[in-house]
Amino acid sequence: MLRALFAVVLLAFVGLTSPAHAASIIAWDVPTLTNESSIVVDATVESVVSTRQADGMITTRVELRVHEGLKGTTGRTLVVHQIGGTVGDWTLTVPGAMQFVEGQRLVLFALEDDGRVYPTLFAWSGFIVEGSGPTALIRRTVEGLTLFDMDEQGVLRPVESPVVSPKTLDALRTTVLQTVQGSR
Amino acid sequence: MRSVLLAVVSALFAFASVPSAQAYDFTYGYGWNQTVKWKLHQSGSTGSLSNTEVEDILEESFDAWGEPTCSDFANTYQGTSSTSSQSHGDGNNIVNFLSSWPSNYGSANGTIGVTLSMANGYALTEFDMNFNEQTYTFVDGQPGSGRQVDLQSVATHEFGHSLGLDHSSQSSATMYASYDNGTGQRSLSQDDTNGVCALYPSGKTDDGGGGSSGDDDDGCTICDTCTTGSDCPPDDLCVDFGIGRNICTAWCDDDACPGDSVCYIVAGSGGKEYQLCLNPEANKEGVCPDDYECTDDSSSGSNDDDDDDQSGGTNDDASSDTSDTGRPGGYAPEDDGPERNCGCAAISPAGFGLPLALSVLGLASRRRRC
Repeated sequence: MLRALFAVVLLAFVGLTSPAHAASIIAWDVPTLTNESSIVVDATVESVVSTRQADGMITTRVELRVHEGLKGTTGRTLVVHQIGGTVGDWTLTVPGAMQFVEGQRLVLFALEDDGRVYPTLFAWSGFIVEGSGPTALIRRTVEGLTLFDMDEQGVLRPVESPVVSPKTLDALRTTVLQTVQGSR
Repeated sequence: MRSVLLAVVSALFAFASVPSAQAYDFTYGYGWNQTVKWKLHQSGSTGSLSNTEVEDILEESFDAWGEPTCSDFANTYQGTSSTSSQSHGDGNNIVNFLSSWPSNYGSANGTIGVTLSMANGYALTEFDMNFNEQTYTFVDGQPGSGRQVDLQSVATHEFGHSLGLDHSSQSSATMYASYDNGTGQRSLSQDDTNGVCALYPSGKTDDGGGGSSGDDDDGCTICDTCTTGSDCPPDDLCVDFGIGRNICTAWCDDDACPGDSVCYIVAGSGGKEYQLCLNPEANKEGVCPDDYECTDDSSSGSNDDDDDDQSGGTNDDASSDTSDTGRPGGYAPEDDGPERNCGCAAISPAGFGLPLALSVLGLASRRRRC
């Protein structure tokens, strides 16, 4: 039976753990991310379904309703796949993977390979849109990602400062479109 | 009908109350139940390192985690394997060097490596570690230009993930979330040692650690004393109610709570409400009086399985509960409790007004506990 508790004075959640590991990636800026992606869309997550195959593998199918295609050709619906997910008691965790949530709006950078579409660089390739209109804020999570930087000689180095990226949907959109135009 | 909570109390989401010396973190809050047995895919590395060198480096990387005497963590290298390099969920722990990087592991240009892990119930059951040799060159020592990476540094970090450690906030730690472009991350820092010892404390080899301070033979840890969330079962919480000690509790939904604990609505700041499992008379006797011990009729499933071979058969029964892990799980319902058979639903952040720290990312990966 659910009961009400009236006498709680202090409620502090201590040390909640979060499920994340590490995919080791190059922390690309938005223009590089755009160039390395074949598809960039502003979309809303319609459905997220994880399935476990006979061999034990768990994959997740994400259906997106596309508001605007910023790069590449997509229809009004885009289906994205990624390894990992939870089915029953089984969880296959892919470090730093995009955490798609139904109803969530995001700008997604994706790769198309063999007719399937995947996030380009785990959670680094998804900007969650918060709010509406061109001034809507965007955010990206780096949880679960191990970040590297790389100079022009291909020397890997630590990511020493926060990676600069657009703060608003409008700024992100402009950066992507300018990059696409510049690469033509 | 759900009661309405009248008293809105101030909630202090005091992550600061976590001991300040702790920078390490856990992936799930639990680890392996047995010695981790792993193999190198038979194709080995096609880079500048011979397979023997690769084997030595990988063994050294993994062994680093078994060196702290305060930990019982152990691993065994079992040689090469012909198992498919992209088979996840077969119970085999494989290290792969991929000369053709699949797109479902992220961009070949931007991804250096990725470690996937499988968990069932309250135990890790498999990991697969993949290094991208299509684009990167793994070397033994200080990396130079041309996309070189010190294998031992990255492998030590990735093995840390495979045993259940998350990123540390301490920049000197092997488990720090950024690469130091050197060989410094080959050696464990004190924080890394603290992490592996907390997850696999010495003397707990048979249950694989997990850091629980509760009684592992007891199927219910509600109201057990804890220091951090890692002291409680996965998905459960360590909460400071201001009673002089932190206690384990769990989210409840549709009245489902472990053992004889009961679902309460507890107020948080701004009128937010949380449904938490507490002692049955918490509203009369207070939260978790010293004489309360959560009792669980299902607690007979203590861990008698000393077989340390986890590499086979772990996926034979996808519907199995967690009792074979020795961790508090299952949470068998009481007969008289309504909807207790499987009442735990994934927690909705909007519905519960969770603190910011419980990010959507974290929640989306929460496993159901039913």
